[in-house]
Amino acid sequence: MTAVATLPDYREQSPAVAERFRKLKQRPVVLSVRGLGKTFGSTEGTVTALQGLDFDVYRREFMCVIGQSGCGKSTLIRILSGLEQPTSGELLLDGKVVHGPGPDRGMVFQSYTLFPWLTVKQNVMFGPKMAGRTGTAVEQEARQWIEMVGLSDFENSYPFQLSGGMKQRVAIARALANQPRILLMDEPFGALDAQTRAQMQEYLLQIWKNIDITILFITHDLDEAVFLADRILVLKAKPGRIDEIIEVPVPRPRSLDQAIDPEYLATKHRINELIHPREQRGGGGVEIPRMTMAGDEVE
Amino acid sequence: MTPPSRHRLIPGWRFFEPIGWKGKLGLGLLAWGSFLLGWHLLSVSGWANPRLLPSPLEVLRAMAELFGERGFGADVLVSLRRILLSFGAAVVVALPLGLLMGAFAFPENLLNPLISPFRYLPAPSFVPLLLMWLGTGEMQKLALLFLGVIWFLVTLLMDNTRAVSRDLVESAQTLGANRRQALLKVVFRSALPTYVDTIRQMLAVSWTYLVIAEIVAATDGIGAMMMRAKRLVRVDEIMAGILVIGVLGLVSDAILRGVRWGCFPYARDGRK
Ligand SMILES: Nc1ncnc2c1ncn2[C@@H]1O[C@H](COP(=O)(O)OP(=O)(O)OP(=O)(O)O)[C@@H](O)[C@H]1O
Ligand SMILES: [Mg+2]
Repeated sequence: MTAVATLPDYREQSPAVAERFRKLKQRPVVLSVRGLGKTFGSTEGTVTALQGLDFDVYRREFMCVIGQSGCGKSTLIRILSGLEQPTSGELLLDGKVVHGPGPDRGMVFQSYTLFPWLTVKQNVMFGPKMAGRTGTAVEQEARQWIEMVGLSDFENSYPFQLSGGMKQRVAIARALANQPRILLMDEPFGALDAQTRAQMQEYLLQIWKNIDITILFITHDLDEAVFLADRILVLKAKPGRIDEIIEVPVPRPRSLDQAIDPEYLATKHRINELIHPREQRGGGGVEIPRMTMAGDEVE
Repeated sequence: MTPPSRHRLIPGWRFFEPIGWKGKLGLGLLAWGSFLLGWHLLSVSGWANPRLLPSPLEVLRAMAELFGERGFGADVLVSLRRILLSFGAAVVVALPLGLLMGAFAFPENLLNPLISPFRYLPAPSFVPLLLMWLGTGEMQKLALLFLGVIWFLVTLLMDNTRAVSRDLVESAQTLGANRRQALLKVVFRSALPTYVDTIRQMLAVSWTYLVIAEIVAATDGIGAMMMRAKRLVRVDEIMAGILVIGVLGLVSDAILRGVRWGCFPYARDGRK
């Protein structure tokens, strides 16, 4: 009998967990996605990246989106941010339909997108400046955001003087300075090493706890999703559609020690089953000819 | 034990590895020293006609005489003014075009088919036309210098604009920038260091057209002086003219390099 067989099913919620998610769903809906679809057309043919997506994100919720590479995660978040137009369906923010990008939805990209000619502080002030806000009040606010991400000593540094993790923290501060209704993050820690990444995850939870913000976070890392999320939206590929919405039973506040709790493992196991179906595992079915000599075996 | 010396190479011969400032200076001096020495020897050896190949010292002497007694300084200023006016006008025209054509498909596809072919027409081929349209005055020279650089300037600035990171523009849009702000505060600002590089390189091209512009119907300027010297077979003066153009070109290049270095500290070599 393997350890996996003894894990509880994450769907058998304890009363406390059930109560937590009942309360979550009573909160107002910040972002509502209705019948969302996206088809890319090109001369080589058409690709349906997303089809018939329906889900709500509640106020102050931390939602993760997970799925195999190419299942449409980036396409989804680009539509939510307004950078891409959906081919069907609609998108409601606080009940109102939105088109195109706007400061009400902040975005943090996987690649480093700080403006290299601006200092940390000027980067953070970019959004307010675009809205025509200037002066010492804005500067004071920017300082507060920079302090929140722990970079007060670097407010006059240029991006090239910062490490990858620091750049992403500034990018978060810059997005938050617009006081968006929702923060959209597309694998923001994907380019960071494992240690910095773990640090950033804890930072992000701290920030989320302390300010009024809803987060939609894309990742392809199971642990990251289970560690961060209230609910995890699992996408299925070709065409991208919702496979399951997992309510993570792991209690908050989260800590790395929970990574061996049964509910943590059960949730992770369930996602793993969904995004790496059993039939696809083990070398992908490719027969590799043996090229070592007898007596050279490894297990 | 294998001797480590097998992998040791003379500095300057490792792949893509820079050399220290001493090595740089030394090698530069070595090249120039050998060149000047070879030239000097060739000219005093009697192999070449010294009238057609004066020695480097004679060229320097001619230059001192030109500046000291013949008012060559005024010619240099005239040439400098021509370069600045024509090149300035070219930049003023090319910059907005390059920005718009690089950022948007509409102006690109409208204007590029028109502008691109002109790059292949040598500017001097316009001289007869310009003489008829503009006469032999200052305008004709400025126009030739302008035509010599404008086509390349527009297309190169367009390429610079196109190379701007799309992620930066998209970030700006999600931060609330409208199209105008995204164009000016992000696309333009982001491409600015590469614009300066392009402008510096095209300024060098502009200097190469100077003599052509000043050969035809000119009474003043460095090129006109050189044409007068040719009639009198004063090779030393011609060479002095070439030297002055070379030095002015290098100085303008160094100034723009300095601007690039000083204004865009974040975009210096090796910074990302
Ligand atoms: N601009 C585009 N034109 C055509 N097809 C596209 C375009 N953008 C994405 N696609 C296609 O849509 C599908 C989803 O892509 P998307 O980038 O959203 O996946 P993803 O889940 O973010 O993948 P990854 O985990 O690798 O980032 C892919 O099949 C991709 O080829
Ligand atoms: Mg992606």
